[in-house]
Amino acid sequence: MTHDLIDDSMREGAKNCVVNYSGIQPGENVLVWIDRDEPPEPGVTEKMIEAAEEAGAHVTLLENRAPEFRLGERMSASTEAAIQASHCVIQLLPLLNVASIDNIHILRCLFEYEVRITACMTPTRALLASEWARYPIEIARTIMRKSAACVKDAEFHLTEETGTDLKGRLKAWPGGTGFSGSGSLRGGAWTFFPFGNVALYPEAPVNGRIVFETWEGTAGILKEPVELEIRDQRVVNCSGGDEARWFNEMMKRYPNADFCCEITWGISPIVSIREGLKQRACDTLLYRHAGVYHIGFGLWPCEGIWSDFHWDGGGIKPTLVHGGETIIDKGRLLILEDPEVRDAASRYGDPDQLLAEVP
Amino acid sequence: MADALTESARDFFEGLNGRDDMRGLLSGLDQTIRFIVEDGETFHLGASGGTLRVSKGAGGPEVKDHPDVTHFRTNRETLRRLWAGEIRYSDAVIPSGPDMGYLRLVENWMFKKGVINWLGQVIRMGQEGPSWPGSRPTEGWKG
Repeated sequence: MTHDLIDDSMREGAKNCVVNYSGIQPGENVLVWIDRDEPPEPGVTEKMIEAAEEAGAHVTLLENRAPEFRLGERMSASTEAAIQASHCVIQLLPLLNVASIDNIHILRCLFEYEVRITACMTPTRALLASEWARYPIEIARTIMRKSAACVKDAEFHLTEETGTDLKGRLKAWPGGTGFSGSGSLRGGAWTFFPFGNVALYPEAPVNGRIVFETWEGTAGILKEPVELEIRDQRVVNCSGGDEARWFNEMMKRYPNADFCCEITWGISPIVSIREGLKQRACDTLLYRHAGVYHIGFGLWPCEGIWSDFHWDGGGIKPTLVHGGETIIDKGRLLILEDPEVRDAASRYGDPDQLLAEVP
Repeated sequence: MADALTESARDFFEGLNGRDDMRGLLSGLDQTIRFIVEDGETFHLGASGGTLRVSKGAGGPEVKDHPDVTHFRTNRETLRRLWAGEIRYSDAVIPSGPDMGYLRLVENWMFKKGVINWLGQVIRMGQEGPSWPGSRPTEGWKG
């Protein structure tokens, strides 16, 4: 791609983020948040600011050393004041630090201020210019809506050839309402950009065995899987290599780090699984890929169990059966074959191409 | 006749009805929040037509996992401290210690996150008064 074409694609990606994911309106205060030690690649921040200003927003750039969200670090008072004074925050933080929703202090802001946060997984020029960042929002929304409609008040059973065999319950998502839990782009909404996943709280009883072949913080397939025994929604045994030893240490250090708080599956066919495996931040590209699952431990926004810790592990070829229906069949997200999804895709091109999983 | 707890809730919530920012917060919302007070009487907060109304009792038949009805389990002391601004709403919802208050969402349901957010903004608005939302930083905030 030539420099000009990349520039145009980045502009398109930034506009998609600002208009379709963040819902930025004229006159709103928008905070673009970047990390001082690991800023986005040149041009990324500028494109996002341009897009927000074109939407009529008043933009402020915040550059500081962002807290490590997953380990409960607290933002400074001035950062919180800047978030509080904003209608929308566009995070352009390093991929390993995207999931600010897993931080109790960010949750406080969402719980108490009328602010929306868009957590961008596009700190590089290539990612902001990618087809993933520019994917037509109508197709993405149809996949999200249909995926949400699959969730029922019923048991789930997650299995994988690695040895994962986990059971629990899920709760239905009311039809026609917002997917992210906020109903719309009201204050308090927190959104990944680009899409997407189905992120749910597993209802007790949650029991079984999980064998993770991927782990947040480690790129690629683990040399030794992380093997967990789950009883009554808690980790009662953890074994494996370096990652398992680290997790055992964290479970000693952080209260409720052993709490199995999240089951999530990716729904985006367009994000590359190969590129995802190159990242240490599994909970960005890889875990958004359609049919890839991950499970989280520690803090979760709704269930009332506090922790300063949140971490994820996952797998690439799961089978997920829920309420008597197969949602994922050995890594293939079956909703991608749904006629309504294909119909939405056909308005933008060949559905076979638009819904084909990028390897 | 409403009890003292319901009256205090009415003072807290309904006093916000005249504010422009509250009207924005309520736009398009039709939600009933039931406060099940373990050591007191249940009351409910209704948000409808751009107005907050507090009434005694549950305000309707028992429903579970309904999109428009949300239940919080709590106690009198937590509510008193919330109204007085002595504790943060988020501490009471996800308490990190024994003295943080007790305001527990009954429906452990991700869908209700939007309601948690919304109620928190209303309570914060009530605690901070006219200066909400662009007011002071909150590190070490004591109300």
